[in-house]
Amino acid sequence: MYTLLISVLIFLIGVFLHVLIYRIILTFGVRSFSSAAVFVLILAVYIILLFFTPQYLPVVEYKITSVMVYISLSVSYLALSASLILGDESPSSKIVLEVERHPGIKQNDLIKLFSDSKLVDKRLEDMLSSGMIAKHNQSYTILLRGRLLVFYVSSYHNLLGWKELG
Amino acid sequence: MDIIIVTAGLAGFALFLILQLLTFRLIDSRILMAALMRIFISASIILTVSVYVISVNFIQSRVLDTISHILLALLIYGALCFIYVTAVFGITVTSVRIQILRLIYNAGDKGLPYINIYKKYNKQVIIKTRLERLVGSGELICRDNKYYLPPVTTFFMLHTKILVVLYGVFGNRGYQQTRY
Repeated sequence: MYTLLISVLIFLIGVFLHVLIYRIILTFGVRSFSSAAVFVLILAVYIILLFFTPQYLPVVEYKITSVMVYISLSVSYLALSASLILGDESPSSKIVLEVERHPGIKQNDLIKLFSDSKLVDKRLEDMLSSGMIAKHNQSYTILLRGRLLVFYVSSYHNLLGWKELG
Repeated sequence: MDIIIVTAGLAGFALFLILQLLTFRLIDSRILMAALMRIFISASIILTVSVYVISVNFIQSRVLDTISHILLALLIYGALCFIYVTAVFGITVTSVRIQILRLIYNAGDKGLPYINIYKKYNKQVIIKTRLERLVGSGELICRDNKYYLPPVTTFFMLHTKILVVLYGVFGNRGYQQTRY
């Protein structure tokens, strides 16, 4: 059980430091992914302590498992935090929350709670700034980075035999 | 046992992927989330039984150790599945950003005018698709064209509640306060 407790504890320390550093950087008005480096730093320190100087740690019976649990939890958390850093709101989550607030709400009333500008424009702006698409005379064209992403998505869809899903 | 736990977690994840590849070709896109959840639970049960059998029969572990082995393997398996669903499945299947990107890609080198993006992909399309998917997956109930939450808290609702808390922690205006 020590293996589980220590791995989770170290992961939670990583989360705390990540949020702390992220919030400090945010005070300068910058939304940065760089604070994720704290997880790599903690992993390096943990591996050194675990395999080279174990006398400084409580007994960890399953060392490889412990490292794997830490890595799995950290990457899960970073995958989740990416959309939070981008400030994206999931339309599905928003729908569920609105239905919780207004039980019996109709489809048209739900649609009224959303705006095209928030759902579409923000995404277009993000993709423009990240170099996936370009804008010329009110028309959008795809750039190399965007093509690569579409190729990746299409390959995955073909693998599963899917059409467009929306 | 160290290597066995890690291998069991990875094998459980591989099983999850194989089951998904086999079943997703056959199902309706509206029940994707429910199917994904069933596959996750099925692979979890197989993983739990496998680790239990190995731990008790081959390693002769004590009860507490066996529980620990199962929890560790499930944690690795669960985290890998979560990464996959968030970073691969979520992005490729439900991301609004990706759907818009595909529209622009399909328009070719001449580009896609702003107005055409709205015509093909707007709030009506986005919300209708998601409502169908949420109802199909049992996250919402539709009666007389009105939407309700199911009586029990679903995994997606739990995920949403966690997301709402974290949304504020990351310096965003919360979901509840934001008016579209």
